[in-house]
Amino acid sequence: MSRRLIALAAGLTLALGGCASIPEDPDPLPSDWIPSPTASPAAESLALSKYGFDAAQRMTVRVRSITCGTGVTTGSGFAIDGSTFVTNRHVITNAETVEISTYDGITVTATAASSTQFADIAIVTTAEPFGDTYASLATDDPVEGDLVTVVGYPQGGKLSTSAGVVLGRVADPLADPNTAAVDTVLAISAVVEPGSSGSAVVNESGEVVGVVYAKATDGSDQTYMVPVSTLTTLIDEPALLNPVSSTCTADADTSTGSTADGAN
Amino acid sequence: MSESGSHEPMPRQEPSEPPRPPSPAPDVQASDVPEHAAPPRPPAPAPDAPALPAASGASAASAASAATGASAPFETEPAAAPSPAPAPPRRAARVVNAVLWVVALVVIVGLAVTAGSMYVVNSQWTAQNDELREEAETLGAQVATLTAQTETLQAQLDESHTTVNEAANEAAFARDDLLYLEDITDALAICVDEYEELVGYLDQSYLYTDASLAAYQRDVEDYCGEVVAAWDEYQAGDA
Repeated sequence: MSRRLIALAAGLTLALGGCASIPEDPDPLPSDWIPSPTASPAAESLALSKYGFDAAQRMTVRVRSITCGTGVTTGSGFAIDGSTFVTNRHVITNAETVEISTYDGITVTATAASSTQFADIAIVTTAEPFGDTYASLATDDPVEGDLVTVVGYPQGGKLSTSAGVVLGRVADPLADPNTAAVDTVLAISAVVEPGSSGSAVVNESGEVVGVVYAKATDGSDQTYMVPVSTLTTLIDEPALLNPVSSTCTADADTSTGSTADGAN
Repeated sequence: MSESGSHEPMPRQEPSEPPRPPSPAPDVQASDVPEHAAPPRPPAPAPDAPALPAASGASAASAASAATGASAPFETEPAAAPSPAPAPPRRAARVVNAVLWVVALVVIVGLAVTAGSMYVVNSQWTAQNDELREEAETLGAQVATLTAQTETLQAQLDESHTTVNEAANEAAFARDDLLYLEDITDALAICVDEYEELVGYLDQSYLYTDASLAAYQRDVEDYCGEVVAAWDEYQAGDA
């Protein structure tokens, strides 16, 4: 009798256990297998646009300065809005005419320019806005060790980039003791060439953290940039900027020195 | 199905009721037998005869008697056969048997239903797996195609990037060249004007000192020399 009861219990257990582990029917298959996009490349700050130029490249301009009797010199710059561009003061010194060229070959003549003696910075404006990408200024200066990239037109040639790191704050190698120039600037390791003056220095997020204005001549390949905090101050306080006359003057270019030359 | 009962516990109870011994022989002489003897009984079954159905208690008793090897030719007290007490346990056994069969039947049916369900579910999962595999292969082929197209487009984009960059660079250089040539042209025009002015001065040299005329001539020649040098440099491709 007991064996039968055990067998019965085992049978019931097996039967009920089997029922408990029977898998359910599969859910119906979806009709659409294409997932919805979760991110748009266009939303990225460094997203590519037509022709494969990223935002930092699209905001960078080539600055052509037609000077008085000395021919044509070139520098770099970048747009902070549709009609306002940042470059170096020494790029437009003695210029009769300043022309702005974009990455895609559009050239516009500047209608006004202003600069300051507090830093090697100049603001150039055009009559009509153009371009579709503008710089995003970082809120803080970079610190030693930060990765940065210089975007500009070295030698007045093709648009190119150069990467480096922030080396730290140094005394302005081109400081004019007769002016109230900024006390310190930032040195970076990115290699620049003449024509890179006015290039934007961007961080890993694509934000502008400085403006290239000089390079060392002692063989150290150090590059000097005006920190973004100084640039922000100049933009926020237009009274610090003085209009630049288009008439030819005998003003000397202050970008030369014994230890550093302007990266013009 | 016969109720053999051969494995029921009841037969094991029978030994508790041992067969009664034969009644003592009647106290009569053999000569009296013909007048008072009981009718002859049929012979007892052989010991190796199959047991009769348990339903007959008397027969079971006879069988038990035969099993004991009793040689009595007949039983004197048939009423003393095993009592009917084992009957209720047999009914309980039948009920238990019936219940067990019903339960077994339910279990078998349940297992059959379960197996059927599992077969159906398995078939559905298998069919869906096949469909998913086919869909995955289709999507994989699409991904491969799109990846190839992306690589092609990326290569075309890189080429466009290079082309636009070079075109913008050439345009900028062309503009630089134009402006440079305009500057040289202006300088050459100034040079010509200065030479014409120098000739005028020389025509009226009596109005000027020789030293001043010579100095002016050197300035003009230096200026024009620089312009010519710039032109030569441009033509050499260094400008």
